[in-house]
Amino acid sequence: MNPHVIGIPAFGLAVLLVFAFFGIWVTDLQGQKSGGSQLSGDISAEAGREIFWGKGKCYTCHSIGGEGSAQRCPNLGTNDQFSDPIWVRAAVRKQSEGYSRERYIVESIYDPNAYVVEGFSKGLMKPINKPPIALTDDEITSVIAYLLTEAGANDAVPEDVMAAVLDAQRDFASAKVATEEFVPGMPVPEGDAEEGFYVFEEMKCHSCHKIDGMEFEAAGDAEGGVGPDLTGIGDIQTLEYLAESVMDPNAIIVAGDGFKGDDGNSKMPEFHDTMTLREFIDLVAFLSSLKAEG
Amino acid sequence: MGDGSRSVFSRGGVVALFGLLACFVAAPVLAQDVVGEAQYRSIGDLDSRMIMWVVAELHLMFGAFVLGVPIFAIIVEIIGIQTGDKRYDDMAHEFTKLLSAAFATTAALGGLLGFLLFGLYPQFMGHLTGVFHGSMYVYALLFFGETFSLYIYYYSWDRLADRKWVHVAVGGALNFFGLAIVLVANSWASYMMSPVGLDPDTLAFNGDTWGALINPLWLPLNVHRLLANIVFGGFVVAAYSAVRFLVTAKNDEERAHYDWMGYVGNFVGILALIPLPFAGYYLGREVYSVSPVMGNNMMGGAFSWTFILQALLIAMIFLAANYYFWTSMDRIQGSNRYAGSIKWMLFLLLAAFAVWMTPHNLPLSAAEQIRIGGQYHPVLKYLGLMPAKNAVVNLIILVTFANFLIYRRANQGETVPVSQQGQSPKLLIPIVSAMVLAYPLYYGFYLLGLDPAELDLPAEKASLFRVPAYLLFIEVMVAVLACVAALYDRGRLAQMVLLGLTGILVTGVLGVYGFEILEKANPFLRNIAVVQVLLMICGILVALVIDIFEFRNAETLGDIRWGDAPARSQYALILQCLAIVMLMGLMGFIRSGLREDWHIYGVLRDTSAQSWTPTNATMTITVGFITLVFVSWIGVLFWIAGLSDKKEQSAQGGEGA
Amino acid sequence: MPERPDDDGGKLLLTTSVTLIAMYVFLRFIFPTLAAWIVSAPDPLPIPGFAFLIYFGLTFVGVAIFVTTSDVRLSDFATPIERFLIPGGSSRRRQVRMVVLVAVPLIGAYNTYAALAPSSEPPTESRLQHPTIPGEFEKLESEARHPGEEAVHAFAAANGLEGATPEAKAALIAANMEEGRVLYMINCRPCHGTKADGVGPMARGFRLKPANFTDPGTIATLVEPYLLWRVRTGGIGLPGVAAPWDSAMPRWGADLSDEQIWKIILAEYDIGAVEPRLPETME
Repeated sequence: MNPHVIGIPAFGLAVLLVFAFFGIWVTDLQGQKSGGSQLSGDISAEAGREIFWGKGKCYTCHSIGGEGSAQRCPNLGTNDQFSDPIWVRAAVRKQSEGYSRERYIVESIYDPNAYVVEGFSKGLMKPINKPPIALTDDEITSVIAYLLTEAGANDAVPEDVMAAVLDAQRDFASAKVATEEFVPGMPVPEGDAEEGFYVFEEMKCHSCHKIDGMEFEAAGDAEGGVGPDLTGIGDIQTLEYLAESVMDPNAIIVAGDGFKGDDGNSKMPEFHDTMTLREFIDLVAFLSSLKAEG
Repeated sequence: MGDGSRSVFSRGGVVALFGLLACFVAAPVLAQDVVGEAQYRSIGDLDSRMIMWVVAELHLMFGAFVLGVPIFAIIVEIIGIQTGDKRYDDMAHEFTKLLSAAFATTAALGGLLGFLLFGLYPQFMGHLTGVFHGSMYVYALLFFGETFSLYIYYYSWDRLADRKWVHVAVGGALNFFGLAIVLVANSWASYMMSPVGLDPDTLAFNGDTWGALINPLWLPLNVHRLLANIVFGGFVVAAYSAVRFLVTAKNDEERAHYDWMGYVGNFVGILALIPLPFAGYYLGREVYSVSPVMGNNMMGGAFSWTFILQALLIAMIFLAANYYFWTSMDRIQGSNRYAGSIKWMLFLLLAAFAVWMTPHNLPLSAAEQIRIGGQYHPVLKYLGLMPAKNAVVNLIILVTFANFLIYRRANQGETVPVSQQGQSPKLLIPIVSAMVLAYPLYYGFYLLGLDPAELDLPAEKASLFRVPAYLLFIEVMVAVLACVAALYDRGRLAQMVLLGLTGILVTGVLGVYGFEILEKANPFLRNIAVVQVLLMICGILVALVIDIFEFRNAETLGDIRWGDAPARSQYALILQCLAIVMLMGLMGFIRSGLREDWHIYGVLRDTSAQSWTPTNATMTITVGFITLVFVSWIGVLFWIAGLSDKKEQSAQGGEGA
Repeated sequence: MPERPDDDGGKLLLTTSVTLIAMYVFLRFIFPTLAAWIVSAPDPLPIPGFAFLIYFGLTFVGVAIFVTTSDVRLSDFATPIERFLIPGGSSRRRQVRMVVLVAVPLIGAYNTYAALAPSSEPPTESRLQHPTIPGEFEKLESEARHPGEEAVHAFAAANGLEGATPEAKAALIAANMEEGRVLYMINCRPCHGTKADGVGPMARGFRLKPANFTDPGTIATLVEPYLLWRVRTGGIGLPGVAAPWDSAMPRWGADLSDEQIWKIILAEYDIGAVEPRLPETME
């Protein structure tokens, strides 16, 4: 057989592969991933996905459509309540005030209480660039990129959209945003989280609040599910917030079914007469020690 | 009550009818949102931009082939008429057969491209059609001319065998229509980069179609693409011959035929390749004129590495071309006299490529940065700048040309002295040289009188303009002396001196001087490049004219043993073809990507999901894929064209035997 | 006439090997010293690895091309190698062959390991010095160099001049230049130097040195809005391909207004004695 029948295609293929190799090598040298928008460094929709479902803890409150199980905060995809996903809703949310879609999303992360969706509580979401989550600006950019790729459905976000995001971020990151945070009148002293576990059990908190992965002694009729799920609450909320929730349950009532009683107040009883100060301090320490997984 | 109820009923009916009519009227109004305003569409989940890229590039490649081949087919045919050698005529016929096979595919791809554009980018195409629809009708009509002339040219080949000049005229018509077609289409592409006829405030188009045709980048794009089409056609034909030589040739006669055809294809390609870098530089410079930001982006920004890849491909092409000459020396009796020159030419070529491929933004590791003391190596950084690149590309061209001259004379033995060749050298050498040297001479005087203010330079810079002018004068003088020397039988010495001087002036003197101009009078750099081109033209054309007469009627030491070429040389031709196809894809990427996220630069933004600039990695993979598709496809087409061959051959064989 | 060109009698292998070795030596040892001598640097300047790859690679390709240009040359080159590798021969040859056949793969293995092993060195990166300017800057014009009508009027009024005359405009531009100089000396001089040559008192501390404005490859090749972008957004504002993590350039937009930055730009061209790149006119 004529060797060139194999030789010519093989040679041709080799030439094309060498060319492709040089292109990939040169791109690597510049630190760019092959294909994808030219966001600098590690900012990418993939990184955003990791952060959303991981250290950003967004998933603990927000689901995206059918993904995730959190109910606490607005679903970022579509569900019974929302017919459009967030990347569409955001365009009209504050349109009358001249907010672009990107600006609205950025504001919801840096200053969540500036606009709270109807049916959800104010003060529930804290600025994410602050503790306890304290994502860096770049991480937040990645998360927004993830959302704007329609939660991973698209490959990349157009450059000018990302530019708008970065612009808005600069405004919010540099400005001293006044948020209606709970400013404690006094700091909560450090308590003993282990003791706090027993306080939780004694006070029968587990009869209304579920904590994944923890076993308590029998409570009675209800076994969690009456009040918000407290799994990993320590990662999401500050010490002061937890202290307030115990001391004054009506200050912030989490949105959701059945958390409010008929009188419009929280169903959670008050423990002013039944809890000692020490127990309170330890309980708060215990709650604050509850870390989410992942 | 009957009347009342009837009238109520009829009133109700009328109201209902009105309501229904209103719906019909309202429906289009309501539907307007859905039908008229679509900005982008997509085919399912597919990436529209990628689809466009592949289809458009394939159309351009096939188009380049279909437009480039008629140019040299007609020239080869004319050579066949002049020399009376039937081989040339047969070869032109074979070129044209390949052409007609590819033509229908090109047109079909064009149709597909058009529909994709209108379907996937309706708003953009609406805008472009608004500007260019007049020329679009003309474009379509021109295809009738092309079709008629192509098929008449091909099918009437034997019939018009005794009325050759009629046939050539048809070929001329074919070329005319082809040229017109590419000129019209080029204007749309160049308009997207340099739009004209716009109202400065609203950016609305208020010009006319033909004014929009003559936009700033149209002419440079035309020149560059025309030359590139010839190169493309030549190299594809050469690769076709190489494949047939290696795979399908059954006997010595066929091998000789395809060896020779490969040589001609390669020769045509190289001939057009020589001025191509100048055309490219012209286009690049005009991009800077249109927008310094676009220009800076092209050379110093996002596409600077792409140009290094381009340098890599061009190095492949030139090295393959020279390699083809060298490996072919074996089949030329008497070539061993010149074998010693190979290493010097190779050395010069490689040194030139080393400079050309040195990037401006040299990748450095941290340790290197610290030891070098900054981002740039203090010596190598100069190699990354334009004057260095301009200087060495000319050297590459000169060496290739010198190689070609050697190839021409490789099997020539004793020459007939020019002084004994009668009147024709005494007439033609001076006349042709005068024609060649006229413009460079004029340009030298132009530079001496150039007012720096025309280039936005202060008046004292005029002294800088003198050096290039003097170099032009020196070259012209030496060229004249060379002609005189040739007429007195010192032609070969004259050639060496002339080409050597050209090399020194263009690469050595102007290479270094270019840096000074870069520093002190940047806008003048373009004129330096023009001077370099003119010096090259002087040197090459005068040396060529002298060469023709030096070796006219010289004794051949033996026939060139066509068919005896080593397989390596044929693979070099295949490499050339692949490299030029990839190069076309790469340059298309640059042209398209320079617009960044604009459909029409500065006027119509690209807000689609794929408005980001792909990386070089994506580009090489995509262009590699397109190359694979193109080469396979055109290979199949050539095979189809060859299906009619076998019957002819066996018929001929039957008759002839 | 003999058909065979340049019959080296097996010397080709020797000459090509010598060429490769000579090139290696030149690039690694002679070129650094040469470069240092050219720019009067105290120590030899090593050749960057990437450049070495290109140049040595080309030499290698050149050798391959030369060796294969004719069948005779090819056999000249290959025959000694073939003879060396064929089994048999003297015991001396067998020993040498054994050593070579063991050493070459080992050297290759070591090189592969060295190239792939993780190291604590930061990776080689290619930093684009002039990345793409963002679109919104492209069409801006320097307010300091080309003051508008109102600015000239205001200046004239403030300084008792007659009105928006060319002299008033020139005086305004001169005033802008002076102010720009002062601002430059306060803000830019510490890194970019008194003579705008990138050798300010703080410059020594940076790995990526401050730009040398007197070099024709820096501001002389850029349009002024490009400088506005760079000064305003600083190193942090660079796109990824320009390695923002390497640049120590502060984000002056936080401290200086655009007006002030235009004045600084006007002054730095003057101090560096270069002209900004002008949009070119068509011929």
